[in-house]
Amino acid sequence: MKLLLERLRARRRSMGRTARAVLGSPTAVVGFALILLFGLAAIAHPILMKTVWPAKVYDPLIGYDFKVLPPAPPSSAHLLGTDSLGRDVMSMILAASRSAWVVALVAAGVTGVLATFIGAMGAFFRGWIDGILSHVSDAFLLLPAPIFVLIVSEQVELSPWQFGLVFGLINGLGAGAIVLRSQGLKVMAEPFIEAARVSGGGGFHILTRHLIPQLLPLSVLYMMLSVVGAIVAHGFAAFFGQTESLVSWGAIVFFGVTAYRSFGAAVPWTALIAASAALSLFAGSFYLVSSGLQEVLDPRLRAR
Amino acid sequence: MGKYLLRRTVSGIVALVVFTAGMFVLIEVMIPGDYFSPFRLGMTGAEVEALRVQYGLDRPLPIRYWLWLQNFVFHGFGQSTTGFVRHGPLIGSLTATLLVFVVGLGLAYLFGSWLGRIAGWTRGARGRTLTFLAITTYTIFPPFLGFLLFYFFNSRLADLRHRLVGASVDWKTMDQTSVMTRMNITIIVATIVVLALGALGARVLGKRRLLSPLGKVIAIGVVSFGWWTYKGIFAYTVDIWLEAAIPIFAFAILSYGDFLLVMRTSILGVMNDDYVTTARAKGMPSRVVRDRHAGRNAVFPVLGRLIVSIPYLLSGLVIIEQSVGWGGIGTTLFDAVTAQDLPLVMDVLVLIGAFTLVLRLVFEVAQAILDPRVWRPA
Repeated sequence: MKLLLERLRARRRSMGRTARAVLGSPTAVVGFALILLFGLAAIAHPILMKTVWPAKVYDPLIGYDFKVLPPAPPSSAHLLGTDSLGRDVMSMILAASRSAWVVALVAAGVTGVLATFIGAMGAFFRGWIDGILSHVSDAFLLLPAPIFVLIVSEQVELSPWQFGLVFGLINGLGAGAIVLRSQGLKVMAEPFIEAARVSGGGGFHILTRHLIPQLLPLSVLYMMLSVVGAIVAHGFAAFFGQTESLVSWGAIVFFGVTAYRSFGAAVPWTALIAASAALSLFAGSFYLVSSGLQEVLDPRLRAR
Repeated sequence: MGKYLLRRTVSGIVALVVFTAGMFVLIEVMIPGDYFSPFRLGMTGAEVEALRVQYGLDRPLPIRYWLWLQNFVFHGFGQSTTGFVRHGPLIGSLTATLLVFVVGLGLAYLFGSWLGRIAGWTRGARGRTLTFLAITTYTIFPPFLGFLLFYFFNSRLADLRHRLVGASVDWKTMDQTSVMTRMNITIIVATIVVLALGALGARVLGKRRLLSPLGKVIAIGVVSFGWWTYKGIFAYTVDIWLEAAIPIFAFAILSYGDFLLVMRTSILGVMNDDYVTTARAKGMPSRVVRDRHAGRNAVFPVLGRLIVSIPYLLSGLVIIEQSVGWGGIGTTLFDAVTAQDLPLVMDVLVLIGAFTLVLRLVFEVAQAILDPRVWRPA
């Protein structure tokens, strides 16, 4: 019991240290703040729709305001104006953050789990298992995950869940597994693995207690990076009207560009800029956090 | 080194075969319909069924893949179900992609690594601004970037084309693909010639280097345009350059951030190494230490990153092509997918895979030349 308490305390101390180090890096703090902001946006939309915004005017899909001519410039009623179809841009941007969150979380989760598992397996077993796994990864590396998801989503309408799943599958099997395998090989060459073997630790013990925990920081880092690709790919699929979610940042840009190119309507600049900025900021925030984490994990990179 | 390169080539070919198998299975599993689905409106069910049996589509998946592989190896790209694209145009689109890819990547690499050296070397506001800029362009939404460039520059470029070469260019007598192929070959040959002559000249004259990177770029440009003028296709190339300007710049803007960020990290990693301190202590100017001492050693991670991120650069290019309407491999791919032309989709994917492999091999040769640790046994 005492030992357990001691262990818990030690873990909390080390976690506190990591948290302080992460918060000490300005890039990570900015990234976290942005992520928090998008989290708030996803929560705020249903609340705002219930309380302040009447559904007929502010619905992100079919809302229309008869008082202004679309595309309307920003006003007090429409903070970011309306798009070419007369819908409130602010409401659309907020509503779209939900599908982006689903894509990001699912893609990151699937990528992380698959990449860590396969990388650890390859590094631990070596031999023919490693041979097969790394050849499969090499093959998947030839195919960029974004392109493949786009091919699939052109034929099958993918929900955000499925989109994240397919993206994570390709990404985790390919690039992710390769990155984590090479880190795994480094870990397996460390003296503490030898020590664990000598002191009688079995294969399962080494795998779950030593190898995988050592891989976790890098796999978190890689998950964060894969979010960037997933979000941009999802935006692009939505831009070509190929996802189930009509309410998404890519679709907003698509409507604006099409209205201008095909029908010669005025360019709804607020909608275009706001949607693209939201997409870039959301993807960028994960990038910022990952580069902050990288600085913490690799002290050589901290600017001295 | 020959052995190392042979090993890499063989493992690349194995990867390509595994890749085609994976794509074949995934396309069969994830995309509904088969080669005859596009015709189902004009035929009765029995006719379609008969065709499917005739073409072996009723057989199990592994056998179908084996047949596909056999036919691909012995007969090449085969026929498309929609019939409008054959491998002539397919190669043409690859040429168009190659032009944008080579020039855009060159620009992105030069600017990215230069700005990355500055961003890593300088502390404070300038370094942070550069990093922030890189992250912004790294995550920019490609269709929006394409739209912005299109909106602001397209009509101006069209005007410029009209004024500069409007009278002297007649595409009816000249094949656009063949001009682009010649441009690609010229650029690649000119690059090799300039680099080789530069190295040779530097050795003969006993200098560290003859030309700065910018000087090399200018030399490559002068040599290429001189050759085109000599061959009498100067006006045609200008026309193509002005048309390709938007995709090239969009691609360069989208990918330079990657190089900048990796270069910055890499510089931060080496800037406290002993040889950098020594160079500073000798009283070298800061810029020389940055570019000649730290920068030279920091280039390896950038090259390594380049090898890993070829697929991502390519996917960025595919997305750019599709959003600015450049008739390259990406546009062909999406046309094929929309038309449910599955044989063509497979062909394009194989081309993308092979293209990636060749590029990877080229960069691996460069890496092996620059850093013998890669292939020498420890």
